[in-house]
Amino acid sequence: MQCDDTLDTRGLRCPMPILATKTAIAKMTDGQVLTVLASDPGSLTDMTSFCQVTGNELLIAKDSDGSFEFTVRKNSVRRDS
Amino acid sequence: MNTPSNVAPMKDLDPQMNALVREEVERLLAARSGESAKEDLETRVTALERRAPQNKVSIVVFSDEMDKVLAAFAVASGALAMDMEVSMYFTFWGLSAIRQETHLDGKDFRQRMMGVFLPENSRQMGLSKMNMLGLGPRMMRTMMRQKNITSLEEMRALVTEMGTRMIACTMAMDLMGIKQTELIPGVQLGGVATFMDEALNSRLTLFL
Repeated sequence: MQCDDTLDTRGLRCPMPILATKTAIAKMTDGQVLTVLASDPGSLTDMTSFCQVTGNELLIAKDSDGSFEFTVRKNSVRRDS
Repeated sequence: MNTPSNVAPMKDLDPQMNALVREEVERLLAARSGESAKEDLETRVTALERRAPQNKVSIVVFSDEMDKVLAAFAVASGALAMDMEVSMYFTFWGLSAIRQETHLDGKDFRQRMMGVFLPENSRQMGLSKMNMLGLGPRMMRTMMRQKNITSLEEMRALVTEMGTRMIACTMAMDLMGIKQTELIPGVQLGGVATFMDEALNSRLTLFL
């Protein structure tokens, strides 16, 4: 899959990975794909919830021994509205 | 003429509210027609929209304990990341969370005493547990740095920059003799009505 941008949040703690993801996604256009690298164990559930609420699509969530990789597709249409 | 099915569901209204609006539309259209009905409808829809909760979180910061204030800022930043609006209302001891300095001149004796005993700025705030005469918070800040956790001041700057509405309670400021110049820039002054306006339009209100 083609990835349009990569964000490295490794070493950052909650809530910074989510804030950085939001900022990175804001710069993208609908349909573009962002890869997020993270080391915070909470980011697995955080990223799932973040995508659920904001309407962005979490395509892949990989956990390889405490090192996380997420693939998010931007979708600016919120699900709850 | 408009029929009820032509009325598109409004954004940000929950289904119950939408149903209410639709019912009102049907009732009005059955009873009358023409411009006056439309105007009347618009007024009513605006009133309903104002009452519907928005994607907003409002937080009352009452404590001057670093851990609680940190939690408040963390929740605020999470809400902002998830595209919600945030307003934070600082009252009583919570004013220390947005205090950048303390001046003593121009205050009466009791207000000066409060200035001396209260944290001089947000960096001097204690912990709600294990304060140990001020050793606790220093230890906590060192540990946070080591663990690469964003400091309270950084998080505060971040949420302000991202558009949080920061409101300082004028009654508490007046009582404790805190001047706006002692607070960080970008703070608005307001009273309980300002907070109620925010809280009534919020999906979530927290008191910390």
